[in-house]
Amino acid sequence: MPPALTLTRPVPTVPSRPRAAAATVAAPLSSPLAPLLTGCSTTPEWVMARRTAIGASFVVADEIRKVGVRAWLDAQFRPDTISEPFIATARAKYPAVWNTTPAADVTAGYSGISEGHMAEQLMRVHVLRPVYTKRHLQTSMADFWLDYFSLPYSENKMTGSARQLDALARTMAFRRFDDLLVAFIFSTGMLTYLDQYTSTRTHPTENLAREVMELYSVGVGRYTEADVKAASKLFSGLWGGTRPDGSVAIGVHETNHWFGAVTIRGRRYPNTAWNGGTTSGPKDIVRFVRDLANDPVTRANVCTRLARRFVSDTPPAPMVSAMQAAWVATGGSIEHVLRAMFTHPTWLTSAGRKWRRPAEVWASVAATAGVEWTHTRPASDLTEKPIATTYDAIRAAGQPVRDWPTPQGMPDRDAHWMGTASVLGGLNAADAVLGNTDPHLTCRGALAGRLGVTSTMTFVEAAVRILERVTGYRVPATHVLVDVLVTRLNGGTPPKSVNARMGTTAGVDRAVHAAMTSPLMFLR
Amino acid sequence: MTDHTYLLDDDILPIHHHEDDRKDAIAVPAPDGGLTVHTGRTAKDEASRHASAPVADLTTALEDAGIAGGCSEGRRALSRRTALRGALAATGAMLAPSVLPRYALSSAHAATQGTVIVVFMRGGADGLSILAPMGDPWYGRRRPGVALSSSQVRPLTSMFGLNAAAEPLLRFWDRGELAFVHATGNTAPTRSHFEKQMLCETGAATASVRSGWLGRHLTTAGTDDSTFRAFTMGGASAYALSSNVPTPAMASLGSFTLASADAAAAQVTDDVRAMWGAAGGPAESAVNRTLEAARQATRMAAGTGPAVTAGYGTSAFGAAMGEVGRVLRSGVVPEVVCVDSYGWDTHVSMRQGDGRVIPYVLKDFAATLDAFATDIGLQAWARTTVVALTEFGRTADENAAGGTDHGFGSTMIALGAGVRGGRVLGAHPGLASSQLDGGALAIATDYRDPLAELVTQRLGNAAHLSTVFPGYTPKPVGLFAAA
Repeated sequence: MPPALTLTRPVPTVPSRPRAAAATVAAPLSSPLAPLLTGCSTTPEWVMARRTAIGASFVVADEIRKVGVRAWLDAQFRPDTISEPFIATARAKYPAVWNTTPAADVTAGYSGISEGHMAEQLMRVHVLRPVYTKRHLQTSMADFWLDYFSLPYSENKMTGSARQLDALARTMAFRRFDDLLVAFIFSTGMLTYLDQYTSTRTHPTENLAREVMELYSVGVGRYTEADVKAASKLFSGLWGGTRPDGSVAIGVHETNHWFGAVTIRGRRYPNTAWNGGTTSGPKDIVRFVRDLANDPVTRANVCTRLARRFVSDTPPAPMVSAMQAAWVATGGSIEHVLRAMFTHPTWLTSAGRKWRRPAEVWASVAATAGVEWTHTRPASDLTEKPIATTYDAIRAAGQPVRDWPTPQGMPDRDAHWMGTASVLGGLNAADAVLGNTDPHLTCRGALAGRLGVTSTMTFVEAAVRILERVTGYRVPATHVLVDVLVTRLNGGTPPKSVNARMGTTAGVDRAVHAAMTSPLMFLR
Repeated sequence: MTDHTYLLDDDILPIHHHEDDRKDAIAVPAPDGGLTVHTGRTAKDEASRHASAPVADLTTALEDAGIAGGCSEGRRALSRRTALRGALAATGAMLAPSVLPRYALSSAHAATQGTVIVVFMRGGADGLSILAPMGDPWYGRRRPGVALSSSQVRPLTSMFGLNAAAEPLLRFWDRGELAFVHATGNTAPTRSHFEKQMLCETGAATASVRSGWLGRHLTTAGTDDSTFRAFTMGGASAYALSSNVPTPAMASLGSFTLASADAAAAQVTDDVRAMWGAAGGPAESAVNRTLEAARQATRMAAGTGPAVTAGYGTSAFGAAMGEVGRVLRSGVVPEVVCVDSYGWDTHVSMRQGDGRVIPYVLKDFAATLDAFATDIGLQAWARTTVVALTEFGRTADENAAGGTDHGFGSTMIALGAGVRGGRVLGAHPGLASSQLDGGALAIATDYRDPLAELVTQRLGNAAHLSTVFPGYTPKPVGLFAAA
């Protein structure tokens, strides 16, 4: 067996493209999802917060306002420069949750505890991370790629790869797409999930060969069954995989690899015969995946999917074009593709046109309410897991986080997330958080101080303030939403005068609950 | 509205864009309500006449559809630990239905004709390991490692044996309530899970309309607008149900309520309605559907006991069917229910160490159906029909990993009311090399043939078959008797 072919590519260093900073002007809300919500507006900081942070809240918006959109983004694209206290918090409770090697498990005292157990820990921690992270964009993009490659952590054969995949998604979050695709395709998780390790020269399996074209690059209609068979031969007998830094080191087995030239999608890969340990096979395998990554159809697919994730089911065509141009200029740098999206003129004018998923609603509610992760694992109980209450509520709402059962990943269409189970799950998030249904989490209530609401405010002032701090949308004082909150602020009955001073903040939490169940809470 | 108002120009979506134009296809609604399928180069012409965008590929359609998945561990209902704190921690009145529902709980149709439950076995179920063609000498030859032995099947006919892992189904066979359609499927040449699932769920000659076959049945079969006329037991609605008739999805009956631990609980629903009424559009519609479904689910939950778990499989499918059982036990008679079953994509290790073949998924599946029939009681079972289908079968040969890859023909299972049972229907194309289609069992019976009978005989909608399955003329199979 020859030494593995090591293919390490430098992290692309592309100069930042100067763009005008987003102006801090109000952006009107005009959403086809809620067409009657007129007269409402939002700000560039909130648009950025709602779209880039899964757990978007006024805390994130204030942070952006403080440093400016551009500076905030620059920092977000360099996540290692941002302190992340959540890592220490989570590790203190569940020491092995982000370990990626057996040695690290031993150090953490976790040796002998099943991978399945730890995968479940990780999945449950996963829904909490967006509430506490400071690396919002990296967290969102890691989530995006883990959806894109959709590798269910709880499946028996996947549990051993869950923590490595989690780490890989963060490492590769903003890298060049060809590097990213190669890293995921040859990750242990992918090779296991799509049965590549069992593929041999005489019986090459087609699973990975098909999905790398159908799901992860060019898509249906851009390859033939003959291409699938040829790719399965090229992939057969593969060993090695992706390193933690995202580089790959793969080789092929002398007896299990199908040697000989193959033609896939019109391109020839020599895949030369075994010759004393020398073959072009590994290099050709990686070149095939890179060719797929760099195909113009893949470029269009990925840019559209990103814009669909962050902006709208039907993203503005000029925005997607600008993203593709950035891709071409930078060799597929996801960072620069994202920058092109975030700075495009239509970024602001399309506010509120994407529907939040249940996990996003829950995380935003929790972050807004300042929920604390108060539970402490008994020191003697290394096997304890975060309780399933929150995770299962989100799952029942149609979003099994990191556990979607099929390889194509979660649908990213509003209609899917506007189904009854998802809408109900979103509506119930406020009650779950404020009502402390999760024994491991604590909401201390008394939110007036947190949201800047005082007893000297009038009912209307307080209602408008709460809606703005909870949802990021400024609502006219005469709006129905304000009426509902005013009544809640007054203990359940309309006050004699909405312009009278409240004199108390006793009704604030109940009004916050109303804001969290308003349609504005669902419009990203 | 007419039968076809949902087939708007906006719905026209070409599904195939091949490098070979001859393989392109598009379906276009005609003024008379029919559907015309254009293929080849004319497909592009039609597409350009009906849509501003050029012919796209199926990826868009798949993503539009968001193939239903949403598996759920259904029974893990939320338990409330504390009431709201602070200002919210007054006496904890729970939300309760205080007014009668706007709609009848049961579908008028279903009250007389019963319930159809459509199970989608996602992943490509290997029909040859469910219903093994023991009489075909090529079966054992092609699968030396994973063919069922004679001791591992329960003989049904001179040709076929049922995998012993599905033994709980035998009692239905013996009573004439269970039938199989062998070598059935969708004949499109693709072996993509997602493309085939999409095609099977649209039920169209091509997948060029953005609605499902069951959704078109609901649209054409009457004006019944009861909330639970049709629903998906799962986190997201099955695509087969999609149409302009909204149908709810729920992961479990007991947890499907608008929660409020607040003393002002009675206000919560009203407030949500008021706020979302001000939103209009899809948001308002979504919340109205949700609140209505939640209200009725609360009533149903109150009218039935907890989910029965005894005998059901431990999978998400088992949990979901247990919840469907609760609904039926509450006295509600939905017309259509969709449930997903996962775990059928058996690329590796189909034979377990003890020699059984795909035992876990099949045993779970069979035990669940058996338990379900018992759970809902004789009266409900007598009007309930279960049909299970999959997107494709698998290769005739086993692969190097002791599994099988994506193929074509598989097995459809029909169980319960109206089934002309105790029979294996459909021709056996054979497993000799010359009889295979691309290395897999060929399709002898289009999957729409038995489903069309289901629509005709069990759903009573023969008049609109051309809309339910546009561009296709079903052939008789003899799977169902008239209701």
